[in-house]
Amino acid sequence: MPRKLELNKPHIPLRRLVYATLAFSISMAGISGQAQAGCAGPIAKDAAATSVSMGKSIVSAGLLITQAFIELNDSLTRYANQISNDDQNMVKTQQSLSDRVSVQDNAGTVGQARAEVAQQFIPSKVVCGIVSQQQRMNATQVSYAATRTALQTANTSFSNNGPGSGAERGTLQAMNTGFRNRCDRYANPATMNAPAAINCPSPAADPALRDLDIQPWKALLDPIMFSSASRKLAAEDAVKMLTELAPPDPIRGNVLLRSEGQNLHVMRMRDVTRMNLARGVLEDIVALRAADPAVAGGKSRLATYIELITGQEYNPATNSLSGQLQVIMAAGEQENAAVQTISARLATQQALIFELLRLGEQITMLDATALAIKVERSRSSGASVSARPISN
Amino acid sequence: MPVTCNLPHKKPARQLLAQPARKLVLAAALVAGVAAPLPAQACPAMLMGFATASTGTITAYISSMSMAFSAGYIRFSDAITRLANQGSNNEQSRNKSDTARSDKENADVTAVSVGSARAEIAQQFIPSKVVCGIASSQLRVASTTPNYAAVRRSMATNNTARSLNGPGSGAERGSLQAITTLFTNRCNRYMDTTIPGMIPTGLTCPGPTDANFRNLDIQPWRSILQPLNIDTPELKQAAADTVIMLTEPAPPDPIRGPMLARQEGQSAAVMRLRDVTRMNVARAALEDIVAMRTTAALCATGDNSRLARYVELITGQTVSGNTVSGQMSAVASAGEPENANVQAVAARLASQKMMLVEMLRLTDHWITMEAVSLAIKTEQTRGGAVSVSARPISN
Repeated sequence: MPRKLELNKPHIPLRRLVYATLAFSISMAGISGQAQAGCAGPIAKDAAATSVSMGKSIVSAGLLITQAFIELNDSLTRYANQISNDDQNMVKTQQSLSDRVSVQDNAGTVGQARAEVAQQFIPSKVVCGIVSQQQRMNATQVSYAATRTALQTANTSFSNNGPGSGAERGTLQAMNTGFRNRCDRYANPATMNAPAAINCPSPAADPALRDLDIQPWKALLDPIMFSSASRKLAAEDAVKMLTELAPPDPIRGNVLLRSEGQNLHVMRMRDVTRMNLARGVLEDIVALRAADPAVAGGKSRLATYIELITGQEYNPATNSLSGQLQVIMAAGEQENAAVQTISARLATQQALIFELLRLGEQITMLDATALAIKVERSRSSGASVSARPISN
Repeated sequence: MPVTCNLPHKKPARQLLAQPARKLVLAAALVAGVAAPLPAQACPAMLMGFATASTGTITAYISSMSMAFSAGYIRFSDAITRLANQGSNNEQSRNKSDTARSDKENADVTAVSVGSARAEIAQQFIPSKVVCGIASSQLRVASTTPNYAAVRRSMATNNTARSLNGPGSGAERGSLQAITTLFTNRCNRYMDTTIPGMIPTGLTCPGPTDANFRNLDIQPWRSILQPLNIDTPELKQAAADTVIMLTEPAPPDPIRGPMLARQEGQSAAVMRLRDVTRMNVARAALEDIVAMRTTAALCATGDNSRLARYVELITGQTVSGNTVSGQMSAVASAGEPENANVQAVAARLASQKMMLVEMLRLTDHWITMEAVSLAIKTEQTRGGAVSVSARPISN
């Protein structure tokens, strides 16, 4: 937009100069008229006076013009300065505008980066779910280990004819205890046909317990979690049936004073150790399925593993799973959450591989012990220790 | 948009003073008209003299005014020139400013572009806590290898010496000594003296001071499989004693000395070594499991076994003794950007490979043991040829 110079506003009083000039002309015309009247003296006098007056007017007008020019110059100078100021202000404004644009660009860039990164940190429901389940599974460790330890202690005591084990006096007592327990807990009248004198009632409260102790798949392997204390006890009795129903008679007291007795004790302990290894594998399977008694509604370690793998919830009452699968939830999540899910699932897989590693160790120990027994039996020389003459 | 100024560069004075100047010129013409010579019929000479004087005076005034007017125009022209120059200067200054501003804008745009690119790339290089944790755990697992191998080697050496009735093995003189040694050890370390009537009067059999050690040697789950860290000398001894109980509590009597001069003795020695070899296969599998759980003999506090390090690698948590605690790595990964999580996936896959190698190792053990078992079965089911020990001497 061009800027216009405002010259229409009179800073210089030129109008007064014009008026003075007109007055001078009119007076000169008057002088001419008088001269025509033929009165030389007054005319000359008047003419001189008029000339002086006109000269003064002219000088006055000249001064006014000069003053007007000075004022005009001043105006022009101010005008020029104003233009310079305006230009400077405009440049400053443009610079500050440029700075502002830069700041805005920076803010936009930072904001965009933040917005892009923000979605990386949106919590993933699936990952939270997996991690929660991993922690729940971890929490079963205490109950799992405690159950296994309790079973090992009880069964070791049973093998050692310990007090309260039901085998304190040896094999016969252990067999009697076993029969009594069968009668009370698992007897099946349809197949047993026990005489009335021996008092062998069937488990009326839960018919499903009939012969459960002799069905290891039903008692041990099928359940994800034992639904009752009776079911857990049935699993423990099934372990006994599978391993050592009746331990040998005890070796204790004075027999240990002699070498024969000490030999027998050590070899007996060897057998108990090997039996404990075999039994421990089965006890571990029981412990994996035992509910956590310390927590209301506590689930077994195996149940929490299944929940961890599927993302669903296990219902002990119906022995079934329900709820949304994690893979369905994962379908609705953004990319980083999906990557996190893969990472969490890999962590779960590692836990499962570790369980396989544990099982592998158990298999290794069983195989190793079985091999050791075979090597002992297949030795080419050397009589059995227990059969050797004492005092080598 | 360029800023223009309507100031004319040509004839500035005429334009500036257009209206008033025109009036002035008309007035001057009028003056010139009336200042013409007076009529001759009225006192011509005197009038002419006065007129001439008046005219001279007026002319002088007019000249003076013209000079003032000219000076004014000159100054006015100077002012216009300065204005024009100032306008040029302003334009130049503004152009310079525009140039500088353009440079600054370019610099700003460049800085913003670079900053934007850096901001976008920076997240790709944010160190991942999870990956650092996994990598550290992997290194910690690897660092247990020397101790793991040393424990295994030490156990294998001790047990082989025991099978061979080596000096200091407690079985130098054969089966009976081995069993006597074991009984004494049991009495001192593991005997359950709480069973009524177990220990007769006259037998020194104190049992362990720590109740947790009662019968620990005969419970392989408690002494070997259950612990993540076998970290005390007593626990290590219990694990070693359990291995003995599971495999060979009493090695046969030694075959050595003059009997090796005869064929029977030599044959018996070879067959004995065959048995020891087979027993070593079985025993080594168990020794390996113990070594996996054994901490370094002179380890600093907080050192862990190879198995405990594996647990740390899998969970991201910390193992102390047999207790696992701390934040799981899966929780930490939930707060990390995508690239870090992709890295974590890669690191976890590396961990899985490590565990699969362990599984492969176990499979090696199984295959070896199965092969030896098959060899024993084959020997036992041979159709012909009597056993070596029963053969007539000097074939």
